[in-house]
Amino acid sequence: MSFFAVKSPLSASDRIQRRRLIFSDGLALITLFATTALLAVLTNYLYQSYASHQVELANRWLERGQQAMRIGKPQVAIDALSSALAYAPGQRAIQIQLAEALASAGRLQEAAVYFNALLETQQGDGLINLQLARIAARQGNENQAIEDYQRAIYGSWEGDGYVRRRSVRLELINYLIARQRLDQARNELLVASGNAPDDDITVQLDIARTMEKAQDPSDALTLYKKILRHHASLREALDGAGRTAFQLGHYLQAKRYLAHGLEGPGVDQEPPAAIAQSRDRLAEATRLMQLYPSSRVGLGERSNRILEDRKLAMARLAECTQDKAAAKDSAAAPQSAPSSTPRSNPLASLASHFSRHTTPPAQNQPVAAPPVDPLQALAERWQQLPAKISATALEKDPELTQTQIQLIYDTEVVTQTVCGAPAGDDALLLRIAQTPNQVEQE
Amino acid sequence: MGTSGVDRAAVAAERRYRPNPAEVERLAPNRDERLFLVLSIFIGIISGLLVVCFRVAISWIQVLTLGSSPHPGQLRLFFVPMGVGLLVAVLVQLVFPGARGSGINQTKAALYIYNGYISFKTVIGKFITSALSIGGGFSLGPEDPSLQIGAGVASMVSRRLNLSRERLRMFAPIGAAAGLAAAFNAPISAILFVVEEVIGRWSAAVLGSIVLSAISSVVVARWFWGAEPMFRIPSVTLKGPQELLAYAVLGVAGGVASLIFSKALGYSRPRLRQLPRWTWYIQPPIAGLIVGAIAYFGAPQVMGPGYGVIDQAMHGQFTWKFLLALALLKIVATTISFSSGTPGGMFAPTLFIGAMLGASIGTFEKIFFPSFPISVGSYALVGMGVLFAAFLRVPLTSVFMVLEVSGNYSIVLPVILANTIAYLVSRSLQPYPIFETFTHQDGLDLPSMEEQREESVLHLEDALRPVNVPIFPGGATLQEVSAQLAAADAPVLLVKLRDGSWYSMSRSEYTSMAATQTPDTVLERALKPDRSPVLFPDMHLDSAIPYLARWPVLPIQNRASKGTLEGVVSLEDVLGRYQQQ
Repeated sequence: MSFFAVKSPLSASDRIQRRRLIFSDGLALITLFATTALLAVLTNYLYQSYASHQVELANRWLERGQQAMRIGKPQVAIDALSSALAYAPGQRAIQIQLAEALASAGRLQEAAVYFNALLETQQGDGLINLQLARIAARQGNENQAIEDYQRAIYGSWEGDGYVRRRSVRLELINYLIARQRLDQARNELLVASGNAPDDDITVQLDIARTMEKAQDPSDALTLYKKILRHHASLREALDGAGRTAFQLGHYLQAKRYLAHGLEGPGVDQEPPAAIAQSRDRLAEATRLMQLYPSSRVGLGERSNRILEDRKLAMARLAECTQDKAAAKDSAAAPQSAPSSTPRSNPLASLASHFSRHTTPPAQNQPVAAPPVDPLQALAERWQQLPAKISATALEKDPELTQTQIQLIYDTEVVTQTVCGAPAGDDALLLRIAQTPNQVEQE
Repeated sequence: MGTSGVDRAAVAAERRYRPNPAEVERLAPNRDERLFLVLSIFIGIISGLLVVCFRVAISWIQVLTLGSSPHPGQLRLFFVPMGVGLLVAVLVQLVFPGARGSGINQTKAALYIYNGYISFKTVIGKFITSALSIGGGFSLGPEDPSLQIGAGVASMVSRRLNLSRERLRMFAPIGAAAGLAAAFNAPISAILFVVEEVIGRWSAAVLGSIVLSAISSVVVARWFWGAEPMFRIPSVTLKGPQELLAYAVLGVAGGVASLIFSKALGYSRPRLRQLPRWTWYIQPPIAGLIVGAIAYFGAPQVMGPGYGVIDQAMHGQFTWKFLLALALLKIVATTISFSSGTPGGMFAPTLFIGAMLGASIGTFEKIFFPSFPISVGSYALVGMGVLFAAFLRVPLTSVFMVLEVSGNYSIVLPVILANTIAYLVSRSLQPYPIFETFTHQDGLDLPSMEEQREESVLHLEDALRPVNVPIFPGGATLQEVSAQLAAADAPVLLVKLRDGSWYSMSRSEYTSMAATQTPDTVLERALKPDRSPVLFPDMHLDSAIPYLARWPVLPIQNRASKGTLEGVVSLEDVLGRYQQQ
């Protein structure tokens, strides 16, 4: 009744008419209410049927899109996923799959823009940043790719974020290695190594191998050793430790690890090429240790090794000098026949060679300092030593021993510079010469 | 049984009971006003439900006719719009002639010409034919038909309750607001649009009902579709005023695009309507064939309202060239679809074109000016508002529409700037808004809301003249007044009463009054009991007209110092001012 506030008194017939009006309005409102309710039920039925059909269509097209991606038809996947998205608008998972399909189809620009748009709705999404990084990498946009990889690492991840972040970091490291950004790769590897769980050998091995690829054998060796502390017989770790120790010049260590690795169980299951490589490396390490004038062996044995190394070095110097002279002669006077120096007396041949090629300066001419020939300098140093040295002499004279060892090393280093990389025992001597104090380092 | 039979007869009699509105007003003076509010809620709910059904129907028809994933090269894209066009043409020509057009002008016509009347047949016809044409691929949108469906619902509901003609007339915009609000899921924009484009003025009497109906319909729509905004973009942070320059470019481009769109429609629509009547049966199928061809040969995105495509554009799925091509193709497809007389709305295509244009410019600037921190989504969104403002000429609605469909207030500055520029560009290049052009083409003379908004309104201060009539205090005796009047020879005099009010009188009125009183009578006591109205200089000039029949001059008072005169106006002053204008 609240609708009808009466201001003036009504007659009896007016009151009847007013009641009829109220009844009429009430009936109209009830009819209206009933109509609205009926319409609501109908609309709800229609809508539910529509909504379930939308879901069905979205799933159908999503499935087709995923199937197309699996069989490597990204263009078909793009159409299907677009349709899925039309029936399930705002579904982030479908949006991401669609952007991935775009990237797979080579539509990198569109994929990048799409991922960027997705990123804007959820800043710091690790997966989106990773995809953007991959796209930037494919586009050759190196700095952008690295930036996006970093954002992906520090972004948010659903589920096992720790594992995903590590995997992204390793992907970044591999990218950095591929782009020859080795310093950055090593820094990232150190972080990855520090974060790697102690009980996950696979991850640690993976990181150690990546360190080797990043030319960081020192950290790789440290990591291999760490693994070996818990799994002393793990072949991959032994092999890796041997390999990296060898690279670092720790030949004693390398020999031990490699030998242990090749003795262990399961060697037969390894690829033959890898086994052969390990065996070669072990053989080299073994021979190198035989040449190395170690202070740990007896004086006699040490002197014998020095004498053997001396012979090798002298022969190497003579050969190098001869090669150089031959090259010089053929350049100056191609007609003249090359002189031959018998290898049996290397010091004599060196002396004759340098006396032939050294001419005194003319009178009254300013004396210009001739360029120092490294081989000549070496020969002079050799001439300052006794022509024949016995093991006993070496045992009695530590100063002579030291001078001789240093001259052997210098000879290998200088001849490598002048005449190129040596082979055989000379190559091993050169390795020793390069890091003589590391050979027996543990 | 007998009792129930009597009851049924009584109910039928009550149903037939229809007193005239004057009688109703006498019996229940506040009935209409209160029913008005209750019915607004019902209208909102029913409109919301119908709009949900309408959208669902469109989607079903779309899937059934064009398939669940229309792609270029599908033969059905070529033929389905043509077939649907033929069916719609037959329905419109033979069954539902009132369903033709978008629905905006039809609603305005209902308000201004037909006392708010929209027939049930028109509502049904609009529902069926628009759902068929939009679902069948025509480049049209569901919002304008929703607006007319809402207005039709309001008309049907209000007719049942025997309301006054004035009330009946006002139900059309109430329903229109409900229909549009449900279609856009945007109540504020719907209210503003109805005020800006349909009613043309803020009226307290109807505003409450419009708000109630719009909110009711949006509640219903959100019950089904959810409360999520139509488009989601990240928040926009302006790093400096220079970024607004980029949006200003979009404003200019939007103004030009709206001109092209308006010109195309303004040119083709009357020419197609002038063709022989039998061609009206083949115009929609031919339009369908052209739209189908565009879809078949590479751009199925132009079919239907295209909200999904707008979303894709916001997510940067397209290159700037393709976006620009889509904007142009949509102009072509919509012009053909609409001009052929196929029922359907202009809102969605306008938003589509704006979004494509915005996304295109955004993508272009992002590629070629990488220093601009541009979000393509925000450009597309601003583009929508820009074309809405420029093409439909509803600047205020366009701003709120963008805010509501995105649920993102951070974009307000670019939107205001770009929309204003686009609106001004459009106004300077195209004198008439598109709906007004259609009105003229249809031979109707509906009020132009844009003109109404811009009419300069005269105020009392414009006709004010200095107080050049004698002023007497209320406490003066008639003898004193008569003596002074004889000396002044003034035709009019003003009396300032002790309570601060004024009384203006002509000399003849004074003479006849004085003749019946003694000379020592105090003037105030001799005056009639009424007083001159209290008027202020800032009031509309027409507010003085009703009083000028009674009062020879009207004292205009100062608002700050009541009783102090700013001047006076007479009927001659008011008429003279109007004649000057």
